[in-house]
Amino acid sequence: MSDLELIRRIVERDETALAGVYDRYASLVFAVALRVLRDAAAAEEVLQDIFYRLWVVAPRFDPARGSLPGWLAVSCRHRAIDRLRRREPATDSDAVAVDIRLPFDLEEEVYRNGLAERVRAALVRLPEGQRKLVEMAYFEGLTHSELAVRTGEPLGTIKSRLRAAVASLRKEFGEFTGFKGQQIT
Amino acid sequence: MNEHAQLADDIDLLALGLLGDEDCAPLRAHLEGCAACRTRFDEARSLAALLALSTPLAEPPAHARAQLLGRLRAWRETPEGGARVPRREETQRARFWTWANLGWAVAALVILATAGLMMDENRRVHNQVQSLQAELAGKQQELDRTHAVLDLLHSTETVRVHLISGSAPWPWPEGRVYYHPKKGLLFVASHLPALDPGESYQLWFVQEGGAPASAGVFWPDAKGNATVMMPAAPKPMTPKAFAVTVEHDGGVPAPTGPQVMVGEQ
Repeated sequence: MSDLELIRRIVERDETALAGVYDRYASLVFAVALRVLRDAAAAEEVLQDIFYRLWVVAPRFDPARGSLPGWLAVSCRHRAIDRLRRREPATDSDAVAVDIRLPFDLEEEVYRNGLAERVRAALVRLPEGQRKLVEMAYFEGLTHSELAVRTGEPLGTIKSRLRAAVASLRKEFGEFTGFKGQQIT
Repeated sequence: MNEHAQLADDIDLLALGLLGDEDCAPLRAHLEGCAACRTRFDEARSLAALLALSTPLAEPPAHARAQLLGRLRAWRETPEGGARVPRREETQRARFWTWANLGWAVAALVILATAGLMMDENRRVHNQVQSLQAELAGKQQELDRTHAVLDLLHSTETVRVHLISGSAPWPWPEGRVYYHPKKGLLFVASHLPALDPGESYQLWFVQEGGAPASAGVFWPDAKGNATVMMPAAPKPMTPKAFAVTVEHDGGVPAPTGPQVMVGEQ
């Protein structure tokens, strides 16, 4: 059954459909939560929150605006970082107007794993300084100012490394995200 | 360079959540009125989703599914979930009844109340049945996983490998791999030293004449224990040995870090 069909059935309050989405993506969501929090019990709570949230907001979920695994993964990352930093959940993590456009089928586990390997390989290819900054920023939720304090590097250096890293990743994954490498003029 | 080109880099950083609050507000205001920058922002958010997807999968505890379905059952009992809340109009309408019609009203109310109670009861029973079915499905999945592990452990074709450390101080890290090409892999480790921030452990298949292949990334709990469960790989492997290394967070395509333990068949 497709993600779209599962969402339609969740809107009709079919618990087995939510269980179906859980079975398909729980290991992805749990992995993201675990990566951020490093605590299995806390990651489990975030995992449940994310799927419970999907159940509540499903009637307002717009699959045309984003893929389900993309929403789950990014929402989980936001929620886990909020928890890590002991913040109230940000409104962004509750957004149902999903703008995460992954124009490819992620329902196939093998394909999903292949894509994940490719993203990991792209991260490894970044210069070490850039890669560590991206990972600290993305999985620990540190801003560039906080990264400067953490690493002892000047803010300007942090910004330029992050920009270079993002530019490399953009180039690498333009085909997936719709990037064309276009210059905004 | 115009304003949009100057903002482009910051838009990427904003989408990835890397900007502080003080830098976000003016950018968000600009995005409200600029379609080109908004498009770039949306694309960068897709990149953010890809980064999240890069995390190696990790199996959650089996009980988490049943607990989630229990929360859905509780949700059904709330007004948002469809539980019946008495409506104010029902109370106000009752005032119109005169004493002369009281008898009929009482009779009608009794019938309505009975019907209402029956409907509520029906709904409650229906919800209960649905929840129990969902819970049963969760238990069944838990049972299936337990059976899968037992099946793996009991199979005569399962490869069993004891991994030990050659150099670490006591208590020595050790682990056991149970691998079956069609049933998957179970890895249990203990006495693992705590990792530094930005590091993770990575388990490797070492194949005869081939490059090591990743079998998963993991982090130990506070006591130094870890368990990795993997479904069968699409392409079965014939490992000669297994090894665990310390790598940077999220794992690497080929081992580069120090070896923590190793074991051969």
